[in-house]
Amino acid sequence: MDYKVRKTDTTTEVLLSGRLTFTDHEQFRSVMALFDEPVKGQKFVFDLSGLEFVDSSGLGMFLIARDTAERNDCNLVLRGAHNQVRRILDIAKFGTIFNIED
Amino acid sequence: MAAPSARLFGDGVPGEVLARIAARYGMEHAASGCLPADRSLKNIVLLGAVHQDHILPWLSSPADAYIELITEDSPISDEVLENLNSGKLCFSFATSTAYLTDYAALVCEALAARGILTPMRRPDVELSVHETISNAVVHGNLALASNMKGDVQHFSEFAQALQNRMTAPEAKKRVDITAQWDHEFLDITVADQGKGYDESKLPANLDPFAPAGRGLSIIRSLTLSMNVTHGGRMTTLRFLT
Repeated sequence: MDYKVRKTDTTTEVLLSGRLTFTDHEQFRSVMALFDEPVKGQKFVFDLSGLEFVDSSGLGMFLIARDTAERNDCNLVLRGAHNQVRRILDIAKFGTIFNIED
Repeated sequence: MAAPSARLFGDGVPGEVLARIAARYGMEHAASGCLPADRSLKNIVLLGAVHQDHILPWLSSPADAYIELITEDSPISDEVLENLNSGKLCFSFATSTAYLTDYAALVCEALAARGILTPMRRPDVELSVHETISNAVVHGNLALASNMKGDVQHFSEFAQALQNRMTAPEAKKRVDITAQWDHEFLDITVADQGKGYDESKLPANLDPFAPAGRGLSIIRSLTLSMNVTHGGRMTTLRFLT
C-alpha cells in the first residue's frame, strides 16, 4: 500500500493506493500518525479510488482509524471504493458504521 | 510415503542440488525448459525463490506442483507427495513468501490458466483464499493472537511483532495449498504448521463492530462451505466450478 496526503484547514484527505492487507500493518502506522494532532471537528477522508484490494485486516485498520478520529471529535469518511473494495465493504456491512461516499 | 512417478524441474536451484533431490525420491529431473504436456509423469516445479513476476510464466504450464525449496533436508513433504498421488494441484511456499507475494492471486492465476476459474468467479475465490492464507500465516505459523490488533494501543505492538517474526525461524514454516475440482465443485485447502485453534470458540455471525474474527465471517459468506480440520491447521473452502 502507498498513500499521499492532501490537507486543507478543515480536511485531511489520505489517498490510498495498491493493496491494503495483513502485510501493511507497519505501513499503516504512519497513516495513523496523521491522527496524532487533530483539530477538533476536523474531517478525515480516506480516498479509496486507487485501492485495488482490501482484506479483513485492512477493514480492521479502517475501524482503528475511525475509533481514533471519533475520540478526537473528528469525522472519518471512506470515499471512492470500487470493484473488490466496494464488495468487501458491503460484505462486512461497513455502511452501517461508516460514512461511505461514492 | 511413496513418491509419485514425477519429473522435477528446477528454477533457481543449483543443478547438483536438484539431481540429489530427484535421486532421493526416484524422480527424473531437468534444470529448465518447457514442461511436457504428456501426463504419464507428474511435473513438479521446484523454486529456489518465489517472486511474483518470476513465477507467473510457470503458472500456465502443465505443472502438478509448485514447491519452494526451503531446506535441502526436507525439500518435499509427505503431505505434498500424498496430495500429488491423489491428483491435486499443489503449492508449498514458506510463510515469508506467503507474506511477501500475493499467494492467493498466484493460486487463482494457475486455476484460471487451467480453465477452472472464470473472471466472474475469481474475485470472491481470491478474497476467501487470501483470508485463509492470512490466518495461516499470522495466527497459525507466526502464532500471533488476533486480539492484539483490535485497538489503537495494541496496533503498533502487533505491527512490530509481525515484522519481527518475518526473520524468526517460524517464517520458514510452510503454507501448503491444494486445489481439486470436478464438474460441480472446486475445493481449495490451506494448511499451516502452527498450533491450530478451536473453531467452535469463534463468533459465528458477522458483526461489523467486532474487533476480530471478521476474516472468517467473510470466508463463510463467500464459500459454499468452510471446513476446519486437523485441529485448526487445515481449512477447506468449497466453491461451485
